[in-house]
Amino acid sequence: MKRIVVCYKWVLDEAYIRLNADMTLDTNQVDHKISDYDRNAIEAGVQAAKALEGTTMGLTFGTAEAKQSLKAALSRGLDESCWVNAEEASQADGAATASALAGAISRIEDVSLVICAEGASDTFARQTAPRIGALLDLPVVTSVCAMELLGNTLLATRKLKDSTETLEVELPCVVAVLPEVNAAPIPGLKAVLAAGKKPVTELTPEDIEADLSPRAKVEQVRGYVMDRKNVVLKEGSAQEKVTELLAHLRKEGVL
Amino acid sequence: MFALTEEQQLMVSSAKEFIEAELKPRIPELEANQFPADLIDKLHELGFMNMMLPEEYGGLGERMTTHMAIVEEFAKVNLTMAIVANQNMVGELLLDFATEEQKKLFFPKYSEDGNWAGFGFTEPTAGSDAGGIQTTAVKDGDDWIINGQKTFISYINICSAFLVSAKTNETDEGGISLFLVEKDLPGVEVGSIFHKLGMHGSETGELFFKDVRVPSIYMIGTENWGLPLVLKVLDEARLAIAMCGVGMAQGALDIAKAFVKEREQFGRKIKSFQGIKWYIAEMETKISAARALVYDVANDYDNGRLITVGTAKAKLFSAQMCMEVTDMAIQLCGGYGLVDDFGLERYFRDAKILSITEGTSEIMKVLIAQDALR
Repeated sequence: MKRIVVCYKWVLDEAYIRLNADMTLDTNQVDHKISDYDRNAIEAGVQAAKALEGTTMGLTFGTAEAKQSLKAALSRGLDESCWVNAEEASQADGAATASALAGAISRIEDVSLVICAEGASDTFARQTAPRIGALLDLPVVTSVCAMELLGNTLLATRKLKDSTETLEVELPCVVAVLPEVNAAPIPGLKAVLAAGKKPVTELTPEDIEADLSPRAKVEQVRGYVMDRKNVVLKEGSAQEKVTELLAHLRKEGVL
Repeated sequence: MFALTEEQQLMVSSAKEFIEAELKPRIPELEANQFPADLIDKLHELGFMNMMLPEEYGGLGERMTTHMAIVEEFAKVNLTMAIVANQNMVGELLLDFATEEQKKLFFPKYSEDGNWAGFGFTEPTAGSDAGGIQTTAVKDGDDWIINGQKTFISYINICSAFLVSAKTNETDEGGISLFLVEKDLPGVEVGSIFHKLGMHGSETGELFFKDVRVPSIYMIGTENWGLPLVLKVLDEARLAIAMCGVGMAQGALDIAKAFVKEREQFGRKIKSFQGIKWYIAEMETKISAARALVYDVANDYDNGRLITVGTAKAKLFSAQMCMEVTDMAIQLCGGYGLVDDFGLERYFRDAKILSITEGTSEIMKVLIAQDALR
């Protein structure tokens, strides 16, 4: 049976991250969540499985904390879940992450389609799908805002800066979807309760062929607070002030 | 401190997603006294409605602690929805006291309409004194004929039936029985709908019964002994009200915190002033204390312990706390706190009902003191 693999990331819920006085991040008491954009990727997988009469597998690369993600992902309609449990995930860059995911995918049989989100809601590096495609020697379509499966062919619409592009790709392939590809449904409570009964596979670095050493290391993460410019338009008539205001807004790229 | 399981946390996450995507944009409708009934249908589809009922009756067999966690999330945003979003207390009463025949008759109605029935106990002369009602039910063959008046009945607009208390015997020690009365029966009339301080979106008003004929199977519990059933189900409803206080206070605090972090006066953020910090510290502490008390009682319920006194304590404390915290939140936000578009004054208006509905704070004190001085 055809299998659709959906890659997702278990990220910190940014709504609860606080800034310390020195602008470092306070992540104590911050819950995790499935990256917002991955909700759409999962739903794209569920819809693709219906079209292909196949099954869906969620795949994540994460530390021990990512174990909590399995039921959360399964409650969104996936049939099974696979977790590459590695401490290296805490320092992984795009290359290490893609290597781990590709290593796991290469162990999975009958993969017709690999779906990622365009980026993760914490880093939005947009590297995962292209790198997985390169490692598995599969065609890659990024920035997908609409997709349709016709037999063994994917019809994907890419959203570009001021136009769209529609491509036809033979399966298997890797796609990176944008949030507008679908409206991710809210998981029902029966689906939440059923998630605990679905199959889960745990892999370790020893189970896969992957290079988990990061080439780009994160040195620090700091908050950024934009200072107010405190520009006060005092001089001139109302019309002149509005004209000046518009000029400021255009200069800042607001208009 | 009570901790939610992974499954409970996921259910709360689903509730949060629903609140963000579906409820928040509809709050102006609620404030304009238009109840968005389609949201209840969606909650029903997602499995939130009557989640504590067993699966055989259309629920999920969930625990009180899960119910409380979800109530808090809804109450952070809107009280009117928090009360009806995921558990119907008449359904709970039916589960405990209805016969098998009655369950087969009534639970399918809940499967279609998650808020099929509401409470119909209060009368113009009988509020806290639930036994002082004037409404009567007289046996006529296999039916009962109900005459009388109820008032301050909540959610008249969304409930299809009401659990009505009526005198069935003037002389016995009990003398009050409970009847499920469908709103569209001949002789049932909706009277005035009240304009009220808060809880907009729930139509609250009067129900009149004139020679309303109700089949015997619509009488719930033992004839003349309905009052203990009312008190039992009120325990559960009161706990939900206590959690509404926690959620509303938290919602108000969150708005106030966001404000004091941004607001600048005398050249600096007002969160840096000690006077502001003291407000925040007091609010945080009071909310944490109330939440811990509610979960303690909910945990007792899930473990089969009696919760009458615990619930009374939780409701008394939470209602007081919510009034204080919403007051402080407005104080922190100054004039902005009074402006309806700012979204805070509604919490203050809604908070007041918590010390009145489902039993006043004074009645809660009576229950607590009776137990303490036994």
